[in-house]
Amino acid sequence: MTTETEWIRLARQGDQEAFGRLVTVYQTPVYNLTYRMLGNPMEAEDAAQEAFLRAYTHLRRYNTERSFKTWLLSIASHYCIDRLRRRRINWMPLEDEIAEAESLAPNSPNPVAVTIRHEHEREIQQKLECLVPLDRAAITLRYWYDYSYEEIAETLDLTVSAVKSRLHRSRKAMAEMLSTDGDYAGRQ
Amino acid sequence: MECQHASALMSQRLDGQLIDAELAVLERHMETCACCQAEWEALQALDALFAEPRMIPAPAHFKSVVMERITRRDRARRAIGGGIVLALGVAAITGILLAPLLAYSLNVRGILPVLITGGPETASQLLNYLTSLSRTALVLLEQFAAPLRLIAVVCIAAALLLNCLLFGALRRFQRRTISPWG
Repeated sequence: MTTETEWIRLARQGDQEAFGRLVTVYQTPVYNLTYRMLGNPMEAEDAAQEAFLRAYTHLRRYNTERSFKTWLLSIASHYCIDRLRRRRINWMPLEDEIAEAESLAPNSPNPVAVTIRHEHEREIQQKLECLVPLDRAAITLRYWYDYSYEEIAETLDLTVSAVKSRLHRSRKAMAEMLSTDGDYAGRQ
Repeated sequence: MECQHASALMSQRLDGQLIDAELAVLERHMETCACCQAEWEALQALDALFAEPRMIPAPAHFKSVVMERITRRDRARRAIGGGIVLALGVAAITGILLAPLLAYSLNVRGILPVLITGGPETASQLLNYLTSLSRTALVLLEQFAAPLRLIAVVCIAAALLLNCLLFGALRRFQRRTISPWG
């Protein structure tokens, strides 16, 4: 029996220490997903916590034949999709969010590198935010988690052809946005 | 090949999902279609933007907050469970205490044989008796509303106190048996 399977078995019996180990292993993948989906560090942290709470509550429903990470990311992405659908206005300006996320990140290197990374992150997040929630989740799982079409389909409860079509549509939209940005920057 | 189909294939090409035959068809189409060529360049630029994306780490306090929330939720569930058990227990004890009194007041032992042998007339008399008994009870309730309210408040306070004691005992027991998660 692998260590992770053992932790899951113990956590199912109410062992919080075992569940704590699972949180340690998966906190960054879950937080990164919620951050990419919601684009706001405070909301992302709350959503990631909620995803872990839901996982703990429904741990008995988890099918051990599936990947635990995929199951966890599925909970987190569905929660974020619901949250985005409920959200109407995002009060926080994007630059503030990125700056806040950067301030939370450990080990700040030199200022030039930080500025470049900051700009790169801002651009990526801007592109993601032009997508509908489900497309955003599909793109995040593809690029950040290197998930196959089948794994994305399993995580988001979609068919493989729907995943292909969503990835295609999202990339096309983001590429058009990138070209427009390039044209605008070129003119300036 | 239509441009729409070529566009769909381009996305799959980025993911390394095209077989050689599909790739050849796509490349032949792009050689003759400037529009698709431009789209492919834009898609490649996008792919470069997303290359080696950075994982944003969870805040340092993340795990402790999650575990605290889990502990709080478990505690609340146990408190609710304990409360329900306690309320059922109080109801059961009250039932046990009041049952003989109720049986005595209704004189069940005396009434039942009469009911069986007496027929509808006796049943009607029993109904009248119960009606007058409930009216009397209502009058008594009205008369003793204030002291009854006081008794109810005392009972609720006692139930809450017992619940807290039970919960405290459970926590002490749990601390002794389960190691902290740290």
